[in-house]
Formats: sequence, structure tokens, C-alpha cells
Amino acid sequence: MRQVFHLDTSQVPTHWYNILADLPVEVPAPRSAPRANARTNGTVPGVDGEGGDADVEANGHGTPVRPQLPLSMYRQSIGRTRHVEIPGPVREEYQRWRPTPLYRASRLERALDTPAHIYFKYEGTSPSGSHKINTALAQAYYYAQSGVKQMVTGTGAGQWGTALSMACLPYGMECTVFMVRSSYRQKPYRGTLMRLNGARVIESPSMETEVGRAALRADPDSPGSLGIANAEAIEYASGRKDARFSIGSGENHVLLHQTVIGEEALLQMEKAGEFPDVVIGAMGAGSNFAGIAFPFYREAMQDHPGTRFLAVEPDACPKMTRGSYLMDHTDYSGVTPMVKMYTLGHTFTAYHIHAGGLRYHGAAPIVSAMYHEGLVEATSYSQSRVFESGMAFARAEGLVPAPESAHAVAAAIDEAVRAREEGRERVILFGLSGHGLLDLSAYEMHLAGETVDVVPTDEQIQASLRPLIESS
Amino acid sequence: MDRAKNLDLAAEVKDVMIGVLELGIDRAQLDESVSLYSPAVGLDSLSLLHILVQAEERFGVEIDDEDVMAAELSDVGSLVAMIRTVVDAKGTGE
Repeated sequence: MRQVFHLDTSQVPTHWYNILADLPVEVPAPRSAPRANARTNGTVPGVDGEGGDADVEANGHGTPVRPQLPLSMYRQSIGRTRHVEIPGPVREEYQRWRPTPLYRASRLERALDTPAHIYFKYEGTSPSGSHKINTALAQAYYYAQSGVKQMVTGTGAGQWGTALSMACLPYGMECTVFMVRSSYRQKPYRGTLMRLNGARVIESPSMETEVGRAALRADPDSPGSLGIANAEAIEYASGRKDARFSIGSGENHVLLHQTVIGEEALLQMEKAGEFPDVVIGAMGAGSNFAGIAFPFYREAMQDHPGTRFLAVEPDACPKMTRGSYLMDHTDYSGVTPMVKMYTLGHTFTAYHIHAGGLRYHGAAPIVSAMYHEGLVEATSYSQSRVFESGMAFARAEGLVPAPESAHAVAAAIDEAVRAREEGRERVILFGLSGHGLLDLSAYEMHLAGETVDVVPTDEQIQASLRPLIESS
Repeated sequence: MDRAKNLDLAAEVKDVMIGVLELGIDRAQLDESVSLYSPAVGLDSLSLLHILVQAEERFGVEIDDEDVMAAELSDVGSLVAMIRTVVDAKGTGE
């Protein structure tokens, strides 16, 4: 029998954990977009060489500034309050499926013949099939309270778009999703699921925005990127009074909302009678990694100083392992505020791996600051190795990991093998952020031997970083 | 609120704006008719939120999300008026 560590619904956390209250390093404040970018209606930098964008919020024509973020969430982003109370209605929504289970991967341990104890926290039981809904519900609540009628967003692999489309339903809000073209075509059922929830799903780059039209002019076959999709969503939302752009990846408040994962896992590991030697999470922009890691970081600071925290990214988008720590934009067109992060440059377009949720060009500012100070580690894996690990896990544990989550599986397997080679017991905890049942076409391609491993060259990375380095 | 208090509040809001936006000017140079989108001011959504949080701290008030999202801000005076409304409401116990 597989060991599972359940909690009851009353143990759903009442508070999110704000790591900014405890972090021994400074996370540099965001900086507003350069004023030249923010005032010119025109074209997209990096696409046609001209400055400016389609930001209508401060466009020099007197269009009112419309904050895209509710003030409540901005307070959460910059606050230093250690424990932030989860609003009652949000917690009630969480209780519809939370707490999520934490399992011991006993069969995987046996298959690897390792003395390591492997645990995983499974977010695939959520209504959207991934962790993304933890922040989607919180954000939908705050936006609805603010009087917003329509949420607009960009999505990579589709987990975020799916989550937001579901989260809008309890509040009667409309949802518009710009979905990265490569994922839109690789994962058609993601789009179906979002449309089922009433969302309008638009393939990005699209002809609906100036950003999209410029990207298509530059490359009609562009696979798209989350940076472009977000830029399109920003432009689309900015032109509509009751609509707002929402993001579900690396912002401080997003990381905050995801800490329900780690808070539950702490209680569950306590039930298991163990504390992890290493906590592992797949790394897109950082919300999944932060969700599982941050509460353990808090406890490790007190009682388990040797605990390691490992972020796992794809070889195809190695923002932490091969990027630079610079001020950069979070979107492709350069209209968003600049944040200090490990980045490949906001115009970097990663190869269209199946783990579309990990193709984002930058790492969350908080995770970046921690990595810069050596408080967390990072590693990367090829796409083929990730699918091999995902299949090994599925065969041992009976759960198909999303390609994103399979990155964490790959790292957990390596840690377990190392434990075997060193003859040491080691407690490994990883976040299984979502199921891969809407990614079976990707697994099918892998079974057919069609998985492609693409790694950006140093020259490609330097080319997209050069404008940032020269302007810093 | 009497005229003197009005002037004080406007001056303090301008001080907050000058600090957050790093304008490097004197508050007397920031007339209430100046557009928030003029080259001299250059407000964007991030700096607006930061100004509001700073104003909350300075005046001991909490601004509703809905008021911020619905605000039609055009010039310095409109931002001052928005904050004044919140401060006045607190003063009358609303």
C-alpha cells in the first residue's frame, strides 16, 4: 500500500507565508519601465528595432492610468508581514479540494534501489490539474472585490489559463487568455478546457494586438513565447476599462499565494516523522518552486540549517544556470516594470519544448535574489531525460506527471541515485505540480522516439542579453 | 476640511509624488493642473500604487481597491482629490 499523508479540510492554511519577512538578502525593488517606452504608441522593441509599445496606460494622450493590480495585492507584494491572512471566501474555495495529498514514492524507491526516502506533494488533484489555481482563486477574489469584470492573461502551457478561467467562474467575471502558439497547437485540449469554462482563448502571437502583429511581421512562424502572450494581454486589457491583466508566475504576491503548498507539506512531513534534506521544485518563473520551498526554508533556518533547495529548469530555457542577474522586463515588449532577476533577456524565445510552462525568460525576483546569495541551487535537464523520468515515475507510482513537473522528478531521481552511490539515507521532497493527462500527445511523441533536445548557444543567450547589459 | 488643511494635504501628497517619482523638483513647481502624463511627472501604474501605499502610511488611512480601480486620474489635482476623499471619509467616520 502506498503511504499517503492526508490532512483534513480544517487544516487548510489560514495564512500565506511571506518570505520577505525572513529573508536575509535584499530583493531589489521593481523599477518603472523607461519613460520613453511608456509614452510611445508604436512598435515592439526587438522586433522591428524601434522603441515604444502599445502601452496605453501612459501614452501621452491623457488616457487615465489604470492600475493592473489591486492595491491589496500590491501591499502583499511589498509588505513584510510574515503571515498574511487568507480571505475567508478564498480559503473556502481552497477547501473544495485542499489539502492536497503528500505521498511517499515507495515503489520508485524500490525501482531505484535507493536508501533515500522520496516524498512528493501532489497538486494534480486540483480542479485545474495543477498548482496554478492557488493564486488564480486569490487573484480572482481581489479583482472581483475591486469591481473588475474581465480578467486577461497570457498562458504558456495552459495550466495558468485553465486555472484563471476556472477561478473567474465563482465571481461571474469574463476571462480572455492569450495562449502561446506552440502550446496552443501541442495541447489542444487545454484550449478546450478553458473554453469550457467560458474563456475566450486566442493563439499568440495574434492579429488582435499591435504587439502580436509586430511579432508576426518579424516571424510569421513564431512559436510564440510567454513574454509575447503577456504583452498582448497587457495591451488588450489596457484598452478596456473594466478589464485587467493578471499574471500567475513570478510576482511576489503569486509566490505568496502558493505557499499553501509548503505549509500543508510541513504538517504532512511532520506526520511522516521526517524533515527533507532536499526540497525540489520545477522552475518556470518560480511560483511552484516557491510554493513548496519557502515554508521549509523558514523552518530550516531555525532547526535544519543543512537543508538544500533545488530549482529545476529545462536545458532549453536555462535562465538560472546560464542567465545573468540583471534588471529586465517581465514581458516581451518591455512595457512592464523592470525587476532584478536571473534572465535570458525578455526577447529570448525558447525552443518550444513540451514543458511550455517553463519557457519563461526570467526567474522570480525573490528566487533570483536567493539564488544569487547561494540560498537555493539550480540545475537543468534535457527534454528527453525529463520524459524518461516522467515515464519511470508513472510506471512506479501510477501518476503521469505534467512535463513541467517531470523536471522535479528527474532531479529527485538523481538525488536518490546519489544517495544509493554514497550509501546514505536521504530524505527527498519534491513538488509534483500537476498531472500530465492533457500532455499525453507529448508522451506519445516521446514513445515514438521523436523527442528533440535543443539547447540555446552562448551566442543566442548573449544576443538577447546584450541590450540589457549595455543599458545597465 | 478647511482651506489650510486642504493646502497641507495637497502639499503632502505632492511630497509623496516627488519622492516616489524621483522628480527632483520643489512642490511649488508641481501645480495641480499638471498632467500626470506630462514629461515632468510620467506616472505609471506601478508608481501610482506606490504613491497610494505611501499616502496610506502618511495619512493613516486604507484606500479601497475599488476606489483605485475606478479612479479617473488625469492631473495632479485629481490624485490629490482622490486621496482627500479617503482622508475626509476617515475624518467623518464613514
